[in-house]
Amino acid sequence: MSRPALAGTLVACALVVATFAAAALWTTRGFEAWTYEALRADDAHRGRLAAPPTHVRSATGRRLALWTANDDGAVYLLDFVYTSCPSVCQALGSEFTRLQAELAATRGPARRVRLLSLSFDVDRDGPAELAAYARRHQADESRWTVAVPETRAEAARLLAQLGVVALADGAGGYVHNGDIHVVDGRGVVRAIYAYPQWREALGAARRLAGGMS
Amino acid sequence: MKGAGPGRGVFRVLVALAPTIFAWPALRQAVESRMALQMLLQFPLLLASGWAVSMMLGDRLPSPLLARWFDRIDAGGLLGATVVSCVSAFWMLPAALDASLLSEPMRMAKFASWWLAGAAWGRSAPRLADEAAAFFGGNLAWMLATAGLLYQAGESRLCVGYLLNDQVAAGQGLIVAALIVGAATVHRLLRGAATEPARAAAGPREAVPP
Repeated sequence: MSRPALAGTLVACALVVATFAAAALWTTRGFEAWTYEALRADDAHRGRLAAPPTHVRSATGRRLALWTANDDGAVYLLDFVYTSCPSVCQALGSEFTRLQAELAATRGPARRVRLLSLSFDVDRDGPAELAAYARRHQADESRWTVAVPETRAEAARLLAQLGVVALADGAGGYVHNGDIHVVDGRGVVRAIYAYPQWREALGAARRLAGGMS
Repeated sequence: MKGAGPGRGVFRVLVALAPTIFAWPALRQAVESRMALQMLLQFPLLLASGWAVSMMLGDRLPSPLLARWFDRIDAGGLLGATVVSCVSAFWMLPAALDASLLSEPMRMAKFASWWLAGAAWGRSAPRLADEAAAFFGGNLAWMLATAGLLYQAGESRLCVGYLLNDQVAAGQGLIVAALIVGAATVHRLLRGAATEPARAAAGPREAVPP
């Protein structure tokens, strides 16, 4: 092996390693976020995650326009569910029942905090299924909206823009994100919490609502 | 490089063309929808395709300018081995795997990087010394085993694009891949050690009388 060839090779190897280190650094945001969910949480922290204006149909059959220009004052605690889900959605429902009880005792600007459970199962979740889910978890329509996007396209756009992935589990259900999203009236996701951290999510939503007053 | 027999030539053409199956969206989606299939079938197939094209260029066609330039900075096969190591390490990252499913540029980057790694490997492998092969092969086996254990140990999904049982299956497959790479590395070392005395006895090529 001649010295010039070895020197050139070592430089080339160093460049290759540097290129891939840079790619890994970029992909993991400085080796801080190794998974997609961690990247999504980081996006939310930086205010880069925003829900598009979305039309939904609620459990009571009402048509609502979310995250439009008229929706500026609201703060949402948002989760994604499908009503036939036997596991994570029921746990989320239980946590939202607790959140609802906490919100009932809230005074001042924090009363602007609302609960929003959106189904991504547009084909199977109609008003009747949503109403059954709402009843099961004692949802009070004045504080907690259970709804589904009006069209598949709207649901797909919402999930894509928020980076929520619902994966068919092969048994007729879905494996999906079980987080609570703190979303402002313009649709910007301000924070994401795993559902056992519902108290922290509520605290963040209250601070956000308080800061808006 | 030695000339290839007709059987070997057909094999290389088939391997080189194998990734064209991913041009069929339904099949590509089916493979990429399973973590184990993506990591243990698609990645190796892309690598093998690049390798086969590289071998065919070396055997049958005049080396293109790029290949000759590559040869000048690939002393001892180190550059090709480094490229394969880096590409393998990058595509073990859960965030990279998800990105390749959700972003078209990342999917293209995946195809290109694995194929180019294979092409580089095809030119580098014959130059790689046993000691260097042991270093890179050992590192690769260790990395595959570590990723395999992590994928199996995770209680939650590391990738949003894959189910937990699929992640565990991919982890098990990576352990098998690590064992294969490790065994191949040891085999090469042992074979090198066995032929070393004969080479030493023959002495340096320059010392052999004409």
